[in-house]
Amino acid sequence: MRSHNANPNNKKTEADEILDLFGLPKDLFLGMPLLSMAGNRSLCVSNHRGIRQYSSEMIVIAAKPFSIQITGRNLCIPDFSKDQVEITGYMEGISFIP
Amino acid sequence: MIRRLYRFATGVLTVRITGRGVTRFMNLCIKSGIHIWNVVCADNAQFTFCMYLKDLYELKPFLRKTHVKLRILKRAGIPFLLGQYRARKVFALVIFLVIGAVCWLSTRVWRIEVVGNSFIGEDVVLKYLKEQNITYGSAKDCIDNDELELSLRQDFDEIIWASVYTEGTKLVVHIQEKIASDRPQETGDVCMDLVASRDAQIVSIITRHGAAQVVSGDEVHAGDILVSGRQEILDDNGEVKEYYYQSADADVMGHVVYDYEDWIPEKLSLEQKTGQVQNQYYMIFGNYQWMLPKLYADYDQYETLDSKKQLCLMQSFYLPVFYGHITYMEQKTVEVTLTKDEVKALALEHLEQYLEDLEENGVSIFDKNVMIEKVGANYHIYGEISASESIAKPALTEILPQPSAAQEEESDESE
Repeated sequence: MRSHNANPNNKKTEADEILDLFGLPKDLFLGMPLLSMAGNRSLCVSNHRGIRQYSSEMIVIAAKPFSIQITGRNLCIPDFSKDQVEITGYMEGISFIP
Repeated sequence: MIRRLYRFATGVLTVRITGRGVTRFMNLCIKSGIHIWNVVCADNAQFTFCMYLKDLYELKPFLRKTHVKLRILKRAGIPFLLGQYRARKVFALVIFLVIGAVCWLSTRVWRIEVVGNSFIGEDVVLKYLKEQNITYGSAKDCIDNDELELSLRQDFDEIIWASVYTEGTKLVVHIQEKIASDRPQETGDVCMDLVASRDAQIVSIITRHGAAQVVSGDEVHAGDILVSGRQEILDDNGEVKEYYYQSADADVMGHVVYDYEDWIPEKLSLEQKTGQVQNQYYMIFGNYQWMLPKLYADYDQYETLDSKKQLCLMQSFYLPVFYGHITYMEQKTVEVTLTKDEVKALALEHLEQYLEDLEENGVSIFDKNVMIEKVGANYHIYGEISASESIAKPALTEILPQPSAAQEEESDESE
């Protein structure tokens, strides 16, 4: 998976190619996070690896190839389990930190 | 909702964690399968969240590892309630008994309502249900609604439609009855005439079947044939060839006179209320009845009014508990001497009631001529009421031998 991060030309890795060939979901086979949003008020992240940083303005969630940084106002976590983390609040930006 | 109930049943803790490694602590919790929710960040080194009570003891190694301090802010759920009421075992037992009793009571029928009946009395339907082993306290599961609907329709000719259903602990029997017909019922092979039910003058006659024997304006007496079920078929010579029998059917309106008579005594004994009232409260549970004693002494003469209600939780959860009160209203008998005007008013009231009863029975009032006169200590009210009403009633037709058969017999005899 390190090869996935070290991919400066944004070329597909072998694993990507195999999954694309068979049409298999990457969140299951590569452990990539699965994000589902309802507007900018609710975000649900599956396949996470915990919280790195948490405040009412910014939450950083660790995932497999990168971290997900959510910025906004009044952010809070109504549900936090091994499988998924739910974030609510007024979200202003989502960025992926390598 | 189910999740909330589960949380309440298993016990929920609201905790606050402080320290430098709070995020690491939460990540360790999550990795070991501990579910947390409502995570609120006070500052970077302080969080509050909710967790299950059963997970509390698994936190110890993580607290030590991350040097985080944990403080319980709030406890909620049944395990804490049980701990709270450990010393009140009887109370808890009573609560369980009450819950059990309510559950048992909800499986029974504690009220039966009959809807839509007008000819068939409610007591008749209730008696029928009792014969079918459906009464107060019957188990709801033992009542087959479809079968009961069918048997009601089969056993009562008047019922053309029935619906049986339960609402809470109430059994509703909804029935629809046949609309009564004014026409005489079919009598099968028996031929019927229409005869006068009382002395009258015919006002109108509309014949549907049979041979009319009277016309408008004729005077008839009780028992006279109005419409005959026997019709004569004549031959070319004008002689009766054959009798044709068919039950008569007609609307015959007659002008009748009702004699009206009423006696009103000059001195009347009236029951008058004194205004003194007292209530006696009671409660009935099954076959047991508790009645509070009266607050005052019994009246010599009184009228009672019983107001009884059934205990009902919400809209349709009736329970076998009745409550109410009996109102005792004191009365005294007073002798009143009526003036002529008062007698007139009373007589008019009686007359109007009489006329109302007549009109309810389909009688149209034309005219009324009523007099009042004093006879000794009484007033005599008398007169005549002219009215129009249906005067036809069915009676068996006299069957005569057919003329052709009679002629054959005569010819045989002559031979």
